[in-house]
Amino acid sequence: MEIAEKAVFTGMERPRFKLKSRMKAKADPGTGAKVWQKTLPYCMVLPAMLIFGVFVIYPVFYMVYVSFFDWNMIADMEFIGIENYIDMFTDKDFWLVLGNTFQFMLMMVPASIILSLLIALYLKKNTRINRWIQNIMFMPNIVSLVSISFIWMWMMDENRGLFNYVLSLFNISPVNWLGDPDVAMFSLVLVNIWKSLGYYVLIIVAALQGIPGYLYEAAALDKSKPITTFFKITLPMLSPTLFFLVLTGIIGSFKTFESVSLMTAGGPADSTNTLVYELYQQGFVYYNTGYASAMGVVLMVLVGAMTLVYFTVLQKKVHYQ
Amino acid sequence: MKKIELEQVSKFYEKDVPIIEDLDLGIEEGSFTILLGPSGCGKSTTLRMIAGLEEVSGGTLKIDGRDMKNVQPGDRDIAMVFQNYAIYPTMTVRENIEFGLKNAKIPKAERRKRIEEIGGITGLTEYMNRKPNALSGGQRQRVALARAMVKNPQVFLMDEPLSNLDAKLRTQLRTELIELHQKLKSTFVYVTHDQVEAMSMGTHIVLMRDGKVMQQGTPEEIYDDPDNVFTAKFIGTPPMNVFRAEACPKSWKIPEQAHYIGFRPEHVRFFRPETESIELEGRIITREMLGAEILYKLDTPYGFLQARDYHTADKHEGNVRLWLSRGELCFFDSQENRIRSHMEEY
Amino acid sequence: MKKIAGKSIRGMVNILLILIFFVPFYWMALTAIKTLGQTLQSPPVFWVSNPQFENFISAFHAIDFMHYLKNSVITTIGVLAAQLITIVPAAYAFARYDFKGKGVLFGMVLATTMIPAQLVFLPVFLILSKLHLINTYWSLILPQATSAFGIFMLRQSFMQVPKELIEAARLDKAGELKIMFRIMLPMCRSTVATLALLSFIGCWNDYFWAKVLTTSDAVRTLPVGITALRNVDGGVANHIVMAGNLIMLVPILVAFVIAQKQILKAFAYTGVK
Repeated sequence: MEIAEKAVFTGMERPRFKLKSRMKAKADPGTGAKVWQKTLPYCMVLPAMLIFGVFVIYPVFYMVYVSFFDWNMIADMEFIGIENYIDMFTDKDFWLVLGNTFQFMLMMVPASIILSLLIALYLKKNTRINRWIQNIMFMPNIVSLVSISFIWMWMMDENRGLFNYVLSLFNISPVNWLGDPDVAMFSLVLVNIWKSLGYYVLIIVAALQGIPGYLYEAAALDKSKPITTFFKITLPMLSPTLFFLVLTGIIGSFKTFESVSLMTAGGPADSTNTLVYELYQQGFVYYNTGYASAMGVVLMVLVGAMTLVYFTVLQKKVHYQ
Repeated sequence: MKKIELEQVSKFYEKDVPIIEDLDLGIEEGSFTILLGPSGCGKSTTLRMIAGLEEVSGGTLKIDGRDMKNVQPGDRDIAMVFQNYAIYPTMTVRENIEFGLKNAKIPKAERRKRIEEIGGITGLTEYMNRKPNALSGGQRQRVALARAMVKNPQVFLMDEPLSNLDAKLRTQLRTELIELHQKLKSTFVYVTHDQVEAMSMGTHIVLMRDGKVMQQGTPEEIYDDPDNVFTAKFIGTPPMNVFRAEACPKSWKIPEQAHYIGFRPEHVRFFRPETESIELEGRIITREMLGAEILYKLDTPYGFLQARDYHTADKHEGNVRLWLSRGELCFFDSQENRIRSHMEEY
Repeated sequence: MKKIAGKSIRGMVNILLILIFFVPFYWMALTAIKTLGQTLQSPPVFWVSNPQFENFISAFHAIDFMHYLKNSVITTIGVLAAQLITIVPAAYAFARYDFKGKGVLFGMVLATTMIPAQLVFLPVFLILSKLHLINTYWSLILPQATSAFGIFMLRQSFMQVPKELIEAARLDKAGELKIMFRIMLPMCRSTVATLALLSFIGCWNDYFWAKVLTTSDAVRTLPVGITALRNVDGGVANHIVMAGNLIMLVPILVAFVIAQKQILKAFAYTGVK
């Protein structure tokens, strides 16, 4: 009897039927007004696609195109092949700027990830005071980078600034936060960490609270030490989130513009000049449109590579569920 | 008279994967017809085709003798109750009930009259201005019913409307639906996978599998006289016991073509009956006390079986003797279809 | 004993965190109501008993504040309106209809999230100048007139509307437009509101586009215009700079106070895509 029963039941539970009927959950259109039904969706996505086409997708190709020309926005364009790229790769200023960009990224990303992870672990319990602290930490995220830059410039003022006053209390001589080539980059990183930390913490706390409690209960029953629990449960469960934050952090550092433009203007002595700021200078100050476009292509390759890494790894693993 | 007729209806999303093939089905006017079957059997799809929510890929579907091919769902004079109620969460109970009437351009005075009436019938009068999220599950189900009833449709379609409710409420609403059907005298088509629900509510049951009708008839016909192994095992808790014929001894005098022998658990006896019977030995494995009756699971030389006995003073334990009345056996052929010819032999 | 120690350590860390993230704002607000003399004082003063509210008026007059404010308001409203027009229908179509090329088009939408403004601003400038739109409001509105994230999030929200609701509406004789406006949109209005809030914050604060896409003061917005404050009085008038920035901050603060929960939720959502 059991055999017969099994046969009947496998016959019934044919999964493809189940799947199909669910997949095709969409309402199918009535027969009337078919033409209208067919064009309507296209009309609805058209405005958005138009904007994307003209202001995101076309510009990418246009930029690549322009990068093969010598142009100053006004005179005729002159095709020069890959000369812009040769100029760029042989220019030591470009390498300096690229180096600065990576230096910024290498300070910014690990520091913000580690700090935010620690703070998130500290704040993970959903209590009123913790939510309050999170709210306060999040404030810089919704404030304009212009205001933030001004606040920090004022606090980092060499003579009247709050920072140097605090240092003087400990008998430390004043630091020229934004005027000293050795310190300026560090100061910029500090501001950017301060601004984005609240966002990182928010996301990690959300991820931490999403880890099912029974995992910890099981670990406790298995007499796991807190350290072991952290490395065997918490960290692996967080890894997709951390990975996302690392990648967006890297891409974010590549894009840094506002704080550089407002606080140091790339100085002193180009020590804080980053890729996007240099691109802006080349394009809008020196009118080397072709050359700037070539830089834009490099930036695009960097961002694209990071995105590619992100999606490749994401498809491979980093998901526990 | 047939209210709804499906002739050679088929449904597929891609050419090679039919959900339903050449389905012929007639639904009697005023009946409470149940489309019953396991998940994926096409019962919901059939219902949704009647509603016009799914296109009919082939064949014709008629309501009141009229081909429904180009008739929009809203114009079919039907109402549907969904499993998850599908009441509009952003509207109040009154607005929910009124929505369809408004769209049908029914005058305000008439609308008000009908809503009041329905509110009284369904007991929703005092909740009319509430939003659905302030209602309990049972109340939401009543809103869904009220919304269907207010339209005075000729046909009610229901897609597992009770399966989201807890057991107690389900039984209660079951009775209410039977009463409602008797009162309204309209045609009900009800989809469920729960055979208990089907047996208790339906005047007519259509049992489906893999897009085909396995058997249809009154609940009694389906239970007493299964056409095939599938029906035999789908209907009844516990289901019919089915032995492989080849495992059984010659002395049972099984018809030659029979591959399976079926018998209901309540037909397994612990005493020798008056009629001609078969005797076998078995060992009791489990015993479930259900109140008025007791379920046994037994191991026999021919396979496991389940037996149902009334709760009496004598308790069966260990190895026991069992009897099956010959007239109560069902035989099935290699295609799992019922062999009826043997009836005449005896 | 151990417990008390733990508690006081927690308290100290809490205070430290709050100080780190709150003091800069306090310092900003305090400076904004100081006199010039007080800002130059050493050691600095941490409290003022005679708040100089006229600093705000000075900030108003030091630059053409009203002009930038007007530009900011017009640009922000323009962007919000444009996004409403582009995002809502697109998200709806992607969620509810099956049409040829849907996958490709939606893939394109997602792909644009990988192309930040900082990558394409130069060609965008060139395109806008070819269209003779530089130094018009269009130049600031058009590049921000839609948002892939917005389409993605709203589509998700539309897709969560149970299909039975739509079917019930069809059985209730409701047409497509009625389904959209009476059923779907009301159910997703909180998502729409959240998206609007995020766009508002982003657009109001935007410095990048306003800086790179303008060559004159004609349509420059507050974040760009306000940077001129630092040149007031030879560059030492930090009280005026702070006062100006504080004014710019007010609408954002109001939004944050009103909808802080939704804002945090929306930001958290960006992390779980």
